[in-house]
Amino acid sequence: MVAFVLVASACGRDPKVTYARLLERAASWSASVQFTAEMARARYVPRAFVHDVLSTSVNALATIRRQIQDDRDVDARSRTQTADLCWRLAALVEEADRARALPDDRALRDIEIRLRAAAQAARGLVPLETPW
Amino acid sequence: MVKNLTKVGLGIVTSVGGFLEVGSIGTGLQAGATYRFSLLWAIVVGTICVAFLTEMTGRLAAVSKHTVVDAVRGRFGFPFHAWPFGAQVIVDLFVLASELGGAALAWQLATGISIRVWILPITFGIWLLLWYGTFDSIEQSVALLGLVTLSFAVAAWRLHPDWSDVARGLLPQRPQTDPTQHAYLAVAILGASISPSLVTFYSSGAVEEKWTPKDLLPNRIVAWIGMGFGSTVAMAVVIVAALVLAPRGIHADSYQQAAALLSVPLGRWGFTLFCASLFIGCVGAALELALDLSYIVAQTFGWDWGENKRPIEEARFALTYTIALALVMVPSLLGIDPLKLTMFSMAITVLALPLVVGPLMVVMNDKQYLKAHTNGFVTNAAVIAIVVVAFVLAMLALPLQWLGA
Amino acid sequence: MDKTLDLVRDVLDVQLIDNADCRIGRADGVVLELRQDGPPRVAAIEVGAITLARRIHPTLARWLRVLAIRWLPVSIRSVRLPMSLCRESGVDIAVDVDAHADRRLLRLEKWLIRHVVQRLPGSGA
Repeated sequence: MVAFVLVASACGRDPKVTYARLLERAASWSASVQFTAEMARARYVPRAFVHDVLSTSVNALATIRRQIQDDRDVDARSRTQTADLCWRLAALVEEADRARALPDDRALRDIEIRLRAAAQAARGLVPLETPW
Repeated sequence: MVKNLTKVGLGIVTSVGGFLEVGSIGTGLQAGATYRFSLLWAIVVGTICVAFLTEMTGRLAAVSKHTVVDAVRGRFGFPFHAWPFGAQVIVDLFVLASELGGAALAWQLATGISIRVWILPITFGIWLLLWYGTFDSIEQSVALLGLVTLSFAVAAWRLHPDWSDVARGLLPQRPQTDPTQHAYLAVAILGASISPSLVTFYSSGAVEEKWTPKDLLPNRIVAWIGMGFGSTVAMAVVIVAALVLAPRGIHADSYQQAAALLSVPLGRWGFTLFCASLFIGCVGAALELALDLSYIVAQTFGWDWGENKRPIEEARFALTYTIALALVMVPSLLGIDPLKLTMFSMAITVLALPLVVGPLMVVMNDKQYLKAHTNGFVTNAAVIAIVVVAFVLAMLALPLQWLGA
Repeated sequence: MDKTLDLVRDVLDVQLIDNADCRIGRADGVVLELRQDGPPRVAAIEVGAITLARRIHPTLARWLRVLAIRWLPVSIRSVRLPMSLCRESGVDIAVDVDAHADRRLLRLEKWLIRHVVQRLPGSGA
């Protein structure tokens, strides 16, 4: 029974889904930074929390970017493009954090849309308009 | 009347440890953010299982004046009992480490200062509460302070969800995307709710409070009310995440992504209430787990035990939680993410579950312990179902963690 | 004790309490006296970590004994409590001893109280 579960799970690990999840996680961080900025503008969250979110997201995006680059199941061109998007996102956030300012929402949103479109493509779905 | 109110306190404290700690809040946020209401059924199933288990162990304590660990060691012998004992000690240590990390994380979110700075004073504070406090004082303060978590319920109500949508989530349904991750979160939610420590803690608490057979009906009510409180708040966490995070495409992989979610329905107070809820939930769970560790070690070896006694009256009991707290600080001092530690802890919790729940089937039908109050048909059927659920979860936990994490 | 006794069910691993209802350990082992002029007789209950370890594996008991001699400041030698001192007390066994006065019992507990707990504030000393 245990062997069956393990074999089934080994067969079930779809590399496209793994790659798509990485891109969605990166897009999720972009959305989180935008949400935090929105709450900061409304003065609902303290400055220290904004810094925490920005610095955590930079580290998380660096990890995701490394995982994308190491993913040999995906073609090199896609990997390079999406890793570059992660890098640009992290750079935007890091710059804002250093300047103790809020990052540009439009730039974040633009990268988020591209990451989600890439994720949809990886899953083999027709790219859809994101709901937000 | 006052005694019945304190019994409710034990139910609430136990449910805080099960439903409102760092793991349950974290998985609830992820479940709501990714799958909206479709995992609410897992919380309902977890609640029903835990309510049955706590009612049984409360009944055991009230009638026999003995705890689950007493009865299992007495009935099954040490060579068998060593397995659930060993498993539960390991689980309690890992989960305690997560809870301390979660409490420190709440302060990091609020102040921006790293958890590595907060972990020492928080651990010391928890040790002081255990060293100087009594079971009653700890139970009542955690139960009262735990009411702050009702802010999630208020937030859910203010967001005006489509209640028919919410109701549909109370039944299992096939997800539209990523069924593996959906299954993993279901297992994680169930693992976080049906924790072996709830079972042993509740029975020890009932003995501490000197319950008698007159308390059997209050025990039944308290088990369901207490777990009902916890599960209501846990479901509110999922609902709020579904309405605030999901539309924004935020997955809540870390607490930083979710900490501002109460600000949408509750405005300026939202963020503070989130941090307070996380802190109090984690401290309550940490107190419960530290005590549970001491309870299970002392009861296994037959030492004198009781949080209502002074440390000088039960040195080994008091030093067990002291040493445990010192050990479990280390992961947070090393900077390990509490949420990652939590997800790992939940997988091993699920593996330990059949070892703790299985023997309960035998104990709860033993007339020498329970006299005329052994399990009826319904409760026996419930225990069998819970043991089956526990085995299934144990089989699925590790493969799903690998696939879904 | 009752005339018929299930040794494994009703004696082994059962909680032991003293005259003051203080928990003094569990029946980790049972000692049978082999007699030439009659059947074996239950002579005593044995309490101690070494006895417990031996039930898992004799090698574990040997290692524990060596470690205890080398590292522990107090003996963890098992204690035998004669059956003549024991009687049923619900699901527990009551032993006619005073654990705090009897030097063989609660050795580790007493050492910890004297050398560690008493020195900490708030211990209730």
